[in-house]
Amino acid sequence: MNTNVTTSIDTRPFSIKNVEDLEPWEYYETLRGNGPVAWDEQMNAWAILDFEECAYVEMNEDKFRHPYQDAPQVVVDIKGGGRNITLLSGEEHMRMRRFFLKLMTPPLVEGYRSKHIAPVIGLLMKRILAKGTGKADLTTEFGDQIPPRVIAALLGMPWQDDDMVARILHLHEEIMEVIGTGFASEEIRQKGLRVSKDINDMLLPFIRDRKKNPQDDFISRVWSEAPEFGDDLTEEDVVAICRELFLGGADTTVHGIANVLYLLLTNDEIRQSVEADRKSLPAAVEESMRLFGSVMYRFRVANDDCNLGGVEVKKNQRLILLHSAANRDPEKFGCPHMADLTRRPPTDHLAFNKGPRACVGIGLARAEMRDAVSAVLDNLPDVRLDPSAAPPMFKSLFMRSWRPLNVVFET
Amino acid sequence: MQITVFDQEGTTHTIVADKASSVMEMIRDYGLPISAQCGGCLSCATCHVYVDPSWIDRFPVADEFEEAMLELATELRPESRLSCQLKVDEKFDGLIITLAPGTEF
Repeated sequence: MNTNVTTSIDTRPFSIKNVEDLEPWEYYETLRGNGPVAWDEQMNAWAILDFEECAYVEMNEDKFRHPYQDAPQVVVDIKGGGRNITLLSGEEHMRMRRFFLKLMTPPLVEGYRSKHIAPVIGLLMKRILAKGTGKADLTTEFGDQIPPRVIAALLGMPWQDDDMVARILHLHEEIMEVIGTGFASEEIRQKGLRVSKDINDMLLPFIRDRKKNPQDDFISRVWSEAPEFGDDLTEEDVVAICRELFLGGADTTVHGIANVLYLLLTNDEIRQSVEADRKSLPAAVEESMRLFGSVMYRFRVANDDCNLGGVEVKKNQRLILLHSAANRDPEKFGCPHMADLTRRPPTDHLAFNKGPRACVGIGLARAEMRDAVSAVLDNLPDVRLDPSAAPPMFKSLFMRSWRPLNVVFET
Repeated sequence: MQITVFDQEGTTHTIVADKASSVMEMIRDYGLPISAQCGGCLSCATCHVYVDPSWIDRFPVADEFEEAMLELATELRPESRLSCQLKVDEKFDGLIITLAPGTEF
C-alpha cells in the first residue's frame, strides 16, 4: 500500500532533502552504517542520527545553543518578536518556561479535556456521523481540526468559527515550512514575514480586548502573569509570547493525531490491544510518536569545537538532530521499526525533545491524541482504511504525518 | 543501590540502579509510569516523588532551581523532591519513595 518508500540506492551526496516526500527510514538505516553523524551539504549542517548523541546535544545547551539565540532581526520578526520563548535563553528562558508549564499542569490539562477537548471532538464527530456516508478522511475532517480549535479555545478565540480555524491551520503549516528550511533564502524569509504578520493580525484583536476585559483564557493570563514584565509588559511582548502558544498548540499535534490513528488503522496487533484494554492507549500514542513523530528534526549550533560521534564539529557549525532517525536507533530500541506496547520505558523517545526546551504542551498533546483515538474507536464501528481511496503517504520534510486517512465504517 | 518505589496506584516495586545515575532514571528505565520529560535537567516537574520521611534529611536540600520547578508540581508536600536530583549513591541503598500524582505519562 505504501508506495512512497525509497526503493533504490541513492548515490547523491547525503541530504535529508533527498528523502523529502519519501519514507525516510531505509535511507537513514543505510546511512547509519557509515557512522552516527553525516554532513548534509544542502542543509549546511551535520546530521545526527543516533539517540544518545541527539539527547546529549539537547540536554547541554551550554555547549550547543538553539540557533534562535543569535537570530537575525528578520527571524525574530518571523517568530513574532523577541519575547517568544524560543528566542529567550538562560534564566529568562527558564522563567518563561515555568510560566508556560504553569498553564499546562496536569490538573489544568485534565480540566481542559472536559472543557475544551471533549466539545471540539464532539462537534467534529457529530459532523462526520451526520454525513451518513460511512466514509471520512480522519485527517482533514477530524484530526487536523482538533488542535487548532483547542488552542483557539484556550486562547479565548471563537473555536467554532470554521473559516478562522482553517486559517489558523493553514498559516501555521506555512510558518512551519519556513522554520523547517532554517530560513534558508530571502524568498523564504519574505514569505515568513508575510505569514507572521497574518498570524499577528489574527491574534491582535483578542490581545487588545483581553487587556481591557480579562477572562479565563491564556491571553488574559499572559497579560496578568507573564514573568518579569509586570506593568511594563507591552502589546508586542504579549504577541510574541502568545505566538508560540498558538504555534505549539495549533500545528504539531495535528501530525501526532494523524500518526497515531495511522498506527491503529494499519497495525492489527496494536489495534486489538487498545480495543481490548484502553489502558494500553498511552503506550500506543508513545510508540506512534517514536516511530513517526511530528517534527522530523531540530537545529542546534555548536558553541565550540567538539567531537560528536567520531566527527570533529567546528565552532558555530549547525547540527540537525534527526529525531526521525534517532527514534529508530537500534542501539537504543530493540526491533526499532516495530510498534511494541511493552517497550520500557515508553516515554524515553525524542519526539517531544529532551532538555530545557522539551515540549511544554506535552500533557495537552497527549490528551488530544488519546481522546481523538478513543472517539474514533467509540463512534465509528469497524473503522478501517478505505481500500478504494487514496492511501496514506508520509510526505513533506520537516513536519510529517500519514495522510490522507480515508476510512470506511459501519453506519 | 536498591530502592523501593510505591507507584501512583500504591503498588510496590523494588528497583536496582543498574546503569542509572539518578533515582529518576532508575524509575523511568524500570518502566514505571513517569513522564520525566526533560530527561533530568530541572526543566519540568514530571519526575516528582515523595521521599519517605525517614530518608528526607539524608539528601542535600533542594536548591533554588529545584524549588522553583517544584512549585509547578501537583500536590506538593514537605517531602517532595524531583527524583532527577536524587543521585545514585550506595549510601542511599534502601531508599523508599512514592511517585507523586501528576507524573504519569
